Amino acid sequence: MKPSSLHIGTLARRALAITALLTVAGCAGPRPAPVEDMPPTMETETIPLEDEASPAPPVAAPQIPDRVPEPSPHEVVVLFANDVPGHTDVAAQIAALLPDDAYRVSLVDIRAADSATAVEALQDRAELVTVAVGLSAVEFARARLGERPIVFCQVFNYRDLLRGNESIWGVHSIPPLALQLQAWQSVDPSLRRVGLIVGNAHTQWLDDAREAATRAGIEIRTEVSASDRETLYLFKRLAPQIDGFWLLPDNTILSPAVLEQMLRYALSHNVSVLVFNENLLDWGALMSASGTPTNIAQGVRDVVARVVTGRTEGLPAMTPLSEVSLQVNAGVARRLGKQALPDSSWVVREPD
Amino acid sequence: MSLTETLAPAPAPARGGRSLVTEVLTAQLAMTALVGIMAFGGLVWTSGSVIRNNLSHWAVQWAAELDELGAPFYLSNRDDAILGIERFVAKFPEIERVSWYRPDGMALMSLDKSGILPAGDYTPLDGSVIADLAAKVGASPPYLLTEDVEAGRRFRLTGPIWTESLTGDGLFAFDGAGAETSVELLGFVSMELDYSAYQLAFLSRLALAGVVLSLLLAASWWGGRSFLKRALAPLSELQAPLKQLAVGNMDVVLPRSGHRELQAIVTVLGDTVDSLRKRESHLRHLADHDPLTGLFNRHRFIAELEAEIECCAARQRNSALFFIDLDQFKYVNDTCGHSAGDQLLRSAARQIRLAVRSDDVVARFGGDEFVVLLKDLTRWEAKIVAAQVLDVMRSVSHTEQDHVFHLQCSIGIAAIGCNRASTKELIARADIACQTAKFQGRNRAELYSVASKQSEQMESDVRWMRSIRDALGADSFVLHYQPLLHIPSGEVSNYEALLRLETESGLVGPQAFLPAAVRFGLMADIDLWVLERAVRALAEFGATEPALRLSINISSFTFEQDGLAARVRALLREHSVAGDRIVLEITEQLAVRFATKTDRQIAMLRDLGCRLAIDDFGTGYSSFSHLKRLPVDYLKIDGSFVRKLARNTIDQTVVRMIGEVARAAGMTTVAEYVQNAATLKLLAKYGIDYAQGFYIGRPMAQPEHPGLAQSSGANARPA
Repeated sequence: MKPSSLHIGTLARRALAITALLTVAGCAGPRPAPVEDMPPTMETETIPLEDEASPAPPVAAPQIPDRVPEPSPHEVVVLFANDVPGHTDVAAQIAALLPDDAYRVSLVDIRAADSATAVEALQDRAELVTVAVGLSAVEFARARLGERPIVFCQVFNYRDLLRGNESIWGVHSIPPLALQLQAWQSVDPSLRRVGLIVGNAHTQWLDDAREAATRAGIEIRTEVSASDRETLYLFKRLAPQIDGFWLLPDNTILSPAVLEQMLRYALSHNVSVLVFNENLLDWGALMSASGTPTNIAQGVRDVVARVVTGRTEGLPAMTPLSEVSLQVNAGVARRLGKQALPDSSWVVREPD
Repeated sequence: MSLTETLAPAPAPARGGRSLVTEVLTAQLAMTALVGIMAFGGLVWTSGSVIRNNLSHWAVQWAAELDELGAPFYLSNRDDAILGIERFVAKFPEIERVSWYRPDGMALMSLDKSGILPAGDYTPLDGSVIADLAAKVGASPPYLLTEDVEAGRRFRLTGPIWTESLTGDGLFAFDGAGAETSVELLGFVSMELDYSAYQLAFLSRLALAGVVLSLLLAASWWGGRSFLKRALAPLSELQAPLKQLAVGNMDVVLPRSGHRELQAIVTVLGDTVDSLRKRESHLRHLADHDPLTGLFNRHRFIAELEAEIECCAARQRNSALFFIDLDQFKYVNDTCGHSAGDQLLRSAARQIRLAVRSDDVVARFGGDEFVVLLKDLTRWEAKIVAAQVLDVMRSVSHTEQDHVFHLQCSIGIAAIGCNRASTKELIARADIACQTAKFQGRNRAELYSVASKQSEQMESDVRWMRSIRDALGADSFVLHYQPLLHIPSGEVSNYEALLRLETESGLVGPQAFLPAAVRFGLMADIDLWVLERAVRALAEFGATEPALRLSINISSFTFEQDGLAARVRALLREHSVAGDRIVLEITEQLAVRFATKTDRQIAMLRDLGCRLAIDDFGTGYSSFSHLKRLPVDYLKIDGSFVRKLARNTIDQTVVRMIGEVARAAGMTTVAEYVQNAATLKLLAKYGIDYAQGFYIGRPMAQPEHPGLAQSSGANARPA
């Protein structure tokens, strides 16, 4: 069986990232350039929000952490689940962004049969920092690697992870809400009233959302739900009052069935929906907003750099993202009577 | 019999009888009602099915609402949820009740249109239902739909309420399928739906429609009845002519109809009326005319005579009646046969017809006797006409089988005046005058005169006629029974019924009153009286004498009547007497005179089992050839051959020959007038079967007991 550390992915478009990972892991090969992971069929562009007329700025160059003179590279293990495509991409990006002269990076696919063996082989590494991509990887790390520092990403519901644990830091999975709202408004200028439902564990999103809405001049109506049924119930009552619904990734109040019903209901009631996953565009959402793997990897890289150097003082428990990847379903837009748009995707970055 | 008699008056149509129009319309109405009932039944069934199916579809739609109905389980603000549900229940009249149950099946809450029900009205779910409902979590469809028609046309829609949340990294990997979720069962919600209100509403509409339809049917029935009556009016118009037709009036006019179908009936009826007219005319002709000569028959002549008697009385005029008897007929008939006799009769009829005026009535009275009614003429003129008839008859010669015959006749004339003499009296007078003419040398005419000797005879006959009538009316005739000895066995089982008239001077034999009876046409009445009394006697004797057989004399007047066989059949049936217990005796003359008719009459009587006997054989047209043809059982040898049998060798030869011939023909022979033992001995010698006469036994009031007869018969039995 192929070792899990070498098993990065099967998709051809990720071949370059895999080569980089192998290099980081100590294998021969040139260091890859940063990868913009976009579907080849989609038109991809980066649009500055402040000045849409200006040419798209280049993708922000990875910030190179301050080099700390260390006698040896820092040991970093990147755990990811191979069955979640987004996670694989992010893991590849993280590996690519950690310089091989400062880090010795191991990538472990926790879905592989020999993942436990591979991790146990790292147990004796003294300064091992774990990068967990996804909740499953976090749980895997906690189970296998004990109290070692963990930097996680791609976890929507992270509150429980942070509770009572000081050696764990995360990178947000949700792009900045203000950035999302601005992009949504650019697509749907008629957007005036937006609804938002969150679970009890994510009430902090309400404040962020209200603030973003206020800045965008949009009225926001919010509800707190305890279950998927209640979410649907509240949504149906909210729908007549709003132009758009902002669906945030709270898995405690969402289920596939409710998601499907909500999006169908929204479409039938001319409510545009902003979702967190481009897969939901096919279910009737107008547009999706998600973090870019590069931006996530950059965040992870920065956090890792401070953790391995012990500069965790002042390090926020969750590091925000600065970019948002947007995608529009032109068919839904037409059906909702929005401005004519092609199926398109683009990235919006917060101004420096 | 006329057609009028044949078509006896039809019974009056029953008032208030069934009406064709009513029946047709009622049948149509019944069929329509039947179809309507079936349609209504189909509608009820279909509507029930449609409502049920519709509601079940609605129920499926409402199933989608179950999530919201389950809001009390998951909604943070439960009061709002319940309020919403109450509004929901109030909005749909079909929803009778909504109930919530905990996962263990215990009722949590229940509400209907009146609001939340008291806790005491809650009913927990069955354990089996809980298991079924739990299995519906995440299934498709996520509910159970049960129907309970017996409980009042209800559906019950029950489903689980659960929450589901994505686990792990589900939201990142989310593509709608295969996402990991965790499920929490919150409880169950049940919605009871009652669609009986729809059913009742539909049935009430249907009932209204039924009433309207019934009214329409009644209106169509009334309208249809009027229409049909109007359409069938031409048929009703046929009623009056058909009534006339039914009472024998052939002169009916059938109304024409403008309708093809009715005109066809009218045409057929017209054809039928025409046929009936022809048939009536034919029957009337047959009833009034003699088939051989084409002249009026006796019946019609009497009717004409009665009318003329009345006319003479009314108009104070005179007419005349001729009674004509052919002098040579018997000779011709005997020598040349019946065919020649018939030819002679037809020729005579033609001559008589030519000799009188066209409005004079000529009829054949019977045998070789003709009668002529000459209207409105004096005696002197009558004599002249009679002379003309004689001349005409004399002038005609008739050739038959190389024999040339000259017609000669004797004519008796009876004058018809204003004194309203009866037809029978007039005919008797003419007959007497005719007999007088024959007595005085034949081929002549005689006018009946009351001053002559004939009047005495006439008066005597009239007295006898009155006595006979009285006897028939008072039932004072009596029968005596003379035994017939069966010569070979010496036993007596046959008797001959002999008629006696009871008078003041005692019993009188038939020889005294029968001529008068013949003259006055009373023979048929006498024969029928004898026949009825003899059959009754057989019935009375039947208990003690089951083998007794009676011989009954039947005159030609009766035998020629068509109804004789029917009358005999009725008597036999009425008295329960077997036909073979009577022997009907007819004369040889009668048997051979109208052979065809006689044969038919004999055949009908034999069919009844009756025996037939030829009486007085040897004195009339005695011909052995007759014996070959006549289907009779007995041959009674005339007494003139028997009375002096012991002394007369010719008689002996005749009797012996008759016996031999009869035996060869399969007939039983009877010898009359046996007066001594020598005669009986000879009869036995000649093979004669039965002997009758004073030597055997005198006529007696009652048949003797066989033993008694045996005793007298023993004396009479030939040694």
